[in-house]
Amino acid sequence: MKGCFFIKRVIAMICFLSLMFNIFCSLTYMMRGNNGDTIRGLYSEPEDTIDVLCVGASSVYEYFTPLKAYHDYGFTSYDFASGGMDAELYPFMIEEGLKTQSPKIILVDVRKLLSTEHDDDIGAYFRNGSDAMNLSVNRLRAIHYFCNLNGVSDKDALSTYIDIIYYHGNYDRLGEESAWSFIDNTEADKKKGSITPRPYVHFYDKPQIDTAEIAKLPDTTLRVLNDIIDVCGDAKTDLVLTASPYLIDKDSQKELNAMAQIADDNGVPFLDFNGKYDLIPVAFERDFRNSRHFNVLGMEKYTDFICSYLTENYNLPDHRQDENYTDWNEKAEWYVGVFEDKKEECLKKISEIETCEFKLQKLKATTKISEWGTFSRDDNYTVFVVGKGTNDWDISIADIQALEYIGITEEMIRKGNFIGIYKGSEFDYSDTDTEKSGDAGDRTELGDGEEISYLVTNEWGPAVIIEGIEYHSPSEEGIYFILISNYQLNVEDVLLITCEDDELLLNHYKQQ
Amino acid sequence: MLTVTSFYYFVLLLVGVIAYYVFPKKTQWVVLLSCSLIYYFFAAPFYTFIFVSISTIITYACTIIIELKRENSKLILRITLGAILANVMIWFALKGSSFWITGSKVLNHFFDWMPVLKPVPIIGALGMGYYTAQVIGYILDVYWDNIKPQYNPGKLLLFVCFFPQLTVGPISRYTDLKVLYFKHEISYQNICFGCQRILWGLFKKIVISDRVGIIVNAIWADTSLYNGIWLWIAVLLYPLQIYTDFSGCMDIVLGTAELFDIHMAENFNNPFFARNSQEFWQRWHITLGTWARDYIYYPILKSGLFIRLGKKTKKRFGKRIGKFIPWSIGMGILWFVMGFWHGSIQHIFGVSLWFWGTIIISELFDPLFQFVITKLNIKTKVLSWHIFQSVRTYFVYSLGAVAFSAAGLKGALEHYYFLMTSYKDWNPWILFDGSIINLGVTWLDINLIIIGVMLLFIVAALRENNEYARLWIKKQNIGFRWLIWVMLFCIVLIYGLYGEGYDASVFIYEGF
Repeated sequence: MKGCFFIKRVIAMICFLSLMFNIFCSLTYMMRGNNGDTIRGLYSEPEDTIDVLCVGASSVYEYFTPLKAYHDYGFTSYDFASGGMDAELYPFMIEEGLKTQSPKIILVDVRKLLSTEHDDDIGAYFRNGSDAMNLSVNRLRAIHYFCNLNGVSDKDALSTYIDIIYYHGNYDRLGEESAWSFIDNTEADKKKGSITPRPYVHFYDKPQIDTAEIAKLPDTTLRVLNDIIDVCGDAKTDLVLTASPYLIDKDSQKELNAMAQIADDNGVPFLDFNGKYDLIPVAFERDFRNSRHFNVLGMEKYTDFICSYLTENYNLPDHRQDENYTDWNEKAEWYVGVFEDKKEECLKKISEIETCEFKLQKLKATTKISEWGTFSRDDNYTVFVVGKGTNDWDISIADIQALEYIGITEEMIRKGNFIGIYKGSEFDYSDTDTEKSGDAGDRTELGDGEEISYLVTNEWGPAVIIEGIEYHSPSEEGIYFILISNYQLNVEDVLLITCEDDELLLNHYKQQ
Repeated sequence: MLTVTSFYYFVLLLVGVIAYYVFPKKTQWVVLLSCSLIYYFFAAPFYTFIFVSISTIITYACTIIIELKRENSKLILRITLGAILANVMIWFALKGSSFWITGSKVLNHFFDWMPVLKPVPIIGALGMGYYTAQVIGYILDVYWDNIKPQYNPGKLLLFVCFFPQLTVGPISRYTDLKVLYFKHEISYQNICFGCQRILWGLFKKIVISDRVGIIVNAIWADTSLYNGIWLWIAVLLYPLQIYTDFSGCMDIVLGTAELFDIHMAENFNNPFFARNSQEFWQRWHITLGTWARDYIYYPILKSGLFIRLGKKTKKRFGKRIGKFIPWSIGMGILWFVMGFWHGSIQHIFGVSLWFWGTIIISELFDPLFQFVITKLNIKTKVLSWHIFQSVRTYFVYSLGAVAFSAAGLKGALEHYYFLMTSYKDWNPWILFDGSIINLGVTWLDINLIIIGVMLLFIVAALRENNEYARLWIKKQNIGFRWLIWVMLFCIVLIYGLYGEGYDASVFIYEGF
């Protein structure tokens, strides 16, 4: 009788503690926020339906797109990746994926292993992965692994281990519908981990890196790479390593060469697109949305290449006629429709840029304010405006109107000193006299996907220093227009308007 | 730093409880001592443990000698007084610096050659005020032959530094804590009640107290901006803050002890239900009050000097005043000791003088108050009268507590000055225009405080009229019980002020 009562008590205690633990987990998932929502998406995929699991950071999901791959080749895949996700997480993400899936191939992009990409503190990039995983022993091991390799104390990582400590202030999340869909940490991802392709374009010069040198890899990199290889080996799953193409530097290329050698020693294929830009081939004047990521055009090429490689070298199924994969068929059709729209948008932008190039020639040659204003009002340009000592300008109404056409009002002229940023036809104005008494630094977007840093200083009158360079005279009075092409990230022209004998003069300024 | 609300404290607790019930019962006190030493190591600079050790050695030696030399009354009296003085001097040197520094400044003012003393560059031991009072009580109990001394120095050390009480007490008697050395069986009720009490304590501290503290601290931090009625809001909210802070921590302490089947003395008994100041201090910080009563007040009143004084005053002034004079002097000494124990001069004013004054006035004018009540035909056995008395007592306490909330005597006097002159900036509209949101709280915080106070009241009413709330809950059906504890858990988890950016570990009563 006493024993029966004791057993009842124990069962009640276990049930209660289980209930509390489940509530604890659900609250944690709901309050975490939207970080790593593509990670959660894999948990909602039916078991054993993914043929290729892609692990990594944005170097995966901004390059390889699973639904396009399915549409064109018929095998299923998933980008089990999150923005900037630290490479130390990869072995554990693979294990996490293998809990519910049995992929034939695991594709891991190793760019995050490079020294230039590595984070040794447990910050946002780590959380992008860890704070999307289910609360599990695997997750705790991943955090401990990172802390061990990078000398972070477990005490400092406490709010990563128990992430509700970090997120519990987000109780506003409980008022959002999306949070409640995270209650069991699953939320179907329509794009299978990938993103809506980006139609943006920036022009770059092809890096002239041609080196077969091999760098000595840091211990952390070696350990992580070997652990990735071991985990796949233990799971008896084929592993393919990739390094998606970007504007690489020489030291990083040497590291990739070293990784290639390790991969080779372990019989693991390693596709390094950086040493071999002609493999895809990469078009630097159209395939990039910024220096580190492909746009829709590059994505199409990359996905196609990877798919061809995988289908030629591995025995991957084609599910397109399988009625169990109707959902995949529907989503792929939808996605390809979106993809084509974005591709069209991108090509249109490229053609706009070609027009811009023509405009630029005109702009650089013009001596008329109105003409310069007309040509510079383009979303493909960003213009920094610096006005110095204009308050004693005595100019005609016609000249004032001409200046107004390019966004300079009479009020600004009378103020004398001003700073502004033009984007297309929008003008962001701020008065250095009243707002910036000291140095004020910031970053501004150039088109989409790239940013430029600038510093406003008022020590010797207003000045703007763009990416460390002052493109105007420190002393000569007038209004400077510094025009930057968003797609080329170049300062294309510096216009100087001065006032002499009550007349406006326009010159294309050259820094001495 | 480890405190009773930090994560690692609960890890220590979990490991400690498991070890306590798994290890052989005769070693349970060793487990407690080990936990206490580990707690001390992480909660305070470990070198300060030397002061705990010195107090223990002095107490041990003194009580053994008293027991051995009991027939030599003069010797044991000298040893008792010497041991008490030694403990008090250590406390005074390290925790009472406010007194001797201020004293030296006063003396220096009159006598130039007197040096102005500086604080000792050594931190006092954790919980020095609490354990010093404890050992004094122990020494006196042995001297009065109320208890037999503890011959095991390890066990005595455990009595002195039992870890839950090191932060905020209670000030325990040896007779209460003798159970530390007994053998304890694991009890489902103790585990449940202990956990429930800890949860309730966390609710009070990190949901209510820290939120109220945001408002109070913001007002006192800028009295030039927050004047008039703002000051009264701070004055009237501070008792709520300090009560939920102190009693919340006490709940965690008592809950912790309960997990080990140790039942420590209650330190609070619904103090805001008190009808007068005297009753208030029988319900607030009960163990300090009873300690001062048993070891200071009663011995003084029973001393030959006071008995003679009482006889003389009765003969001179009549029965009532004759009794009043020695009583009030005894009270004055008791209150002086209570204020002195708090370790600073503003506490002498805000605790000693203020409450002594209110109690004396209340007692002295009691016949007049009774006369007025009778003449005005005021019903005193009704709820409205009880509410009036409790509100009056709350108000009296909150005025005294102003000194408690200030940093130093000067700060306390400034606060009182601002209060006295607050009528000049009378601004009742702030109660209606939502200005309270400017203090760093949101409407959600205000609602949580209100709901928290309502819950406090319900629990207090249950205790006042029936029994402890958790005993009442225990009698309910399992679904209802689980609902209450799960909801409380969720409230603490979501709305508790803990983690990065919060400093919930700071307790108002921790510094003693």
